[in-house]
Amino acid sequence: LRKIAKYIEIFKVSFLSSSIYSREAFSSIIFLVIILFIFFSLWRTIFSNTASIQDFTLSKMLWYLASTELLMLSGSRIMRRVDEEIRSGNVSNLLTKPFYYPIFLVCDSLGTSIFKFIIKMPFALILAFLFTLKLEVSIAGLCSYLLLGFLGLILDAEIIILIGLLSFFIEDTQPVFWIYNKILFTIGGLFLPISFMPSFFKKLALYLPFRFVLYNPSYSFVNFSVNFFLNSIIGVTGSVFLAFLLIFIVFRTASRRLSINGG
Amino acid sequence: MADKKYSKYSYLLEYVKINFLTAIEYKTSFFLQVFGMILNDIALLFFWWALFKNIGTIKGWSLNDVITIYAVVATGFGFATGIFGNVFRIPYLILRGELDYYLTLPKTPLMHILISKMSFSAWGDVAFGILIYILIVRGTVGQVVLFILLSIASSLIFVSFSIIISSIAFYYENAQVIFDEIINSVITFSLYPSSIFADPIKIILYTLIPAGLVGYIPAYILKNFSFKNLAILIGAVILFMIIGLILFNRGLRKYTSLSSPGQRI
Repeated sequence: LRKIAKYIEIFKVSFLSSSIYSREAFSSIIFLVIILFIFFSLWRTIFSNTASIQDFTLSKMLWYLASTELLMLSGSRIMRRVDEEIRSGNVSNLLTKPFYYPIFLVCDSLGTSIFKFIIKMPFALILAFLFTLKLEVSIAGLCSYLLLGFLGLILDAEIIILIGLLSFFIEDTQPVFWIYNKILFTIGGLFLPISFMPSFFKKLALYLPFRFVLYNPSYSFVNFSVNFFLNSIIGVTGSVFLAFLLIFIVFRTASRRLSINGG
Repeated sequence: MADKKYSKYSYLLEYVKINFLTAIEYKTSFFLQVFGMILNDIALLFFWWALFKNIGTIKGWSLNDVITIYAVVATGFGFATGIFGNVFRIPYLILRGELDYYLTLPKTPLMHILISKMSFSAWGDVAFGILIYILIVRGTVGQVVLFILLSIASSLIFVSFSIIISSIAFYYENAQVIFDEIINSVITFSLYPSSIFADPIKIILYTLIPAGLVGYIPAYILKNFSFKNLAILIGAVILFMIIGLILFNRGLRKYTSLSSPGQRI
């Protein structure tokens, strides 16, 4: 229990320290409002000629977009820090601390993500309500969104940490981060639900775990069904474990390559 | 009579050349940034392509029309930050008292500030914008020429508007936050057809946040050419440039140096 308690403390410290960066929070909220406004306007124009496209009505689409964008803008940004710690050699100091470095990173990232999620959530939901004038959500949908979203943020943090750990092997990890970011943007379902995609990309999206970060929580939010929820829980939990296993392997391999020269 | 080799504006060309050579010197960084920009552009195109597979047109705008908006903005933005690389850093330079260096030299400070830096990744945007216009939209030679001219107009509006907003930094110390938000809004709004927005928003997009002039209007001229619209756009470019110049020069009178150490001499 003491082991778990220290990681909870790391989460808490990260959560509280995020509140200091009010400028970032302000900018991020403005960006959220602008991007939702644009996409709400775009979809309202598209739906002006039709009642539904695929399995989405206009209001479902707007609530879906609000929830994907909220998760996206709450996502982990810890990669640069991991990258710097490895490049500067500071990681050797962190290895002597009484915690397992990758779990420390996950908790730290999660603390920031949850803070960002909480402060942005009212803005996303109010804007969705103002555009649709109805609550396109059920209690079950909301609960499943919060649970799947939380697990999705863990998965996101793990993927980002994995990318950061690549600094042990490659010179610059930034392009890998860009690729991940654009995967979320495209087949991750950020602006377009997977059902809207051409068949090849739809299959690709369904086979890959990236949909658990944004698409599955948000789809479950607006189109809740027990089956989809259970499939999502199994999928995201499996992906979280798999990602952690990968982190464990990469970190162990990398630690062996680490040479500390003193000083 | 001025020496031909060192005419009044030859330093501009020299700066562009030096900036390019610096960029090429850091090859990995240069190509990485260009790659990042192109990746970003491809992701947005994927969105539009997948969207138009499900719908016909959006208020008369087809996939090709939207790609034209995108190409104009990417190329215009690329020219703006590729040549005038300091365009986003003016508030920072003002607030940190770093205009001193430019004020001590005989060249016009504003132009000198703008041109003394280059964004490497911007050239990825330029290449991408021109390529997608040629390969996907399949414009004729005449249209490609017009496309490049309109992209230059778009970049001039973008640069002039940035100067206007930068001038706030002469009067208000938290200007950087305002500048970042407004410029981000212009870029974000400029990538979508203005016709999707309600009328009051459209008015804002043609005046206070001129995103419509940066993307939609040039693309509209390419779609339905008329001299009237072209004249309006050129008029807007001139107007924004004059306002930018007046506000910057007025603000410059308020500028006080911080005598910050580490000045570039």
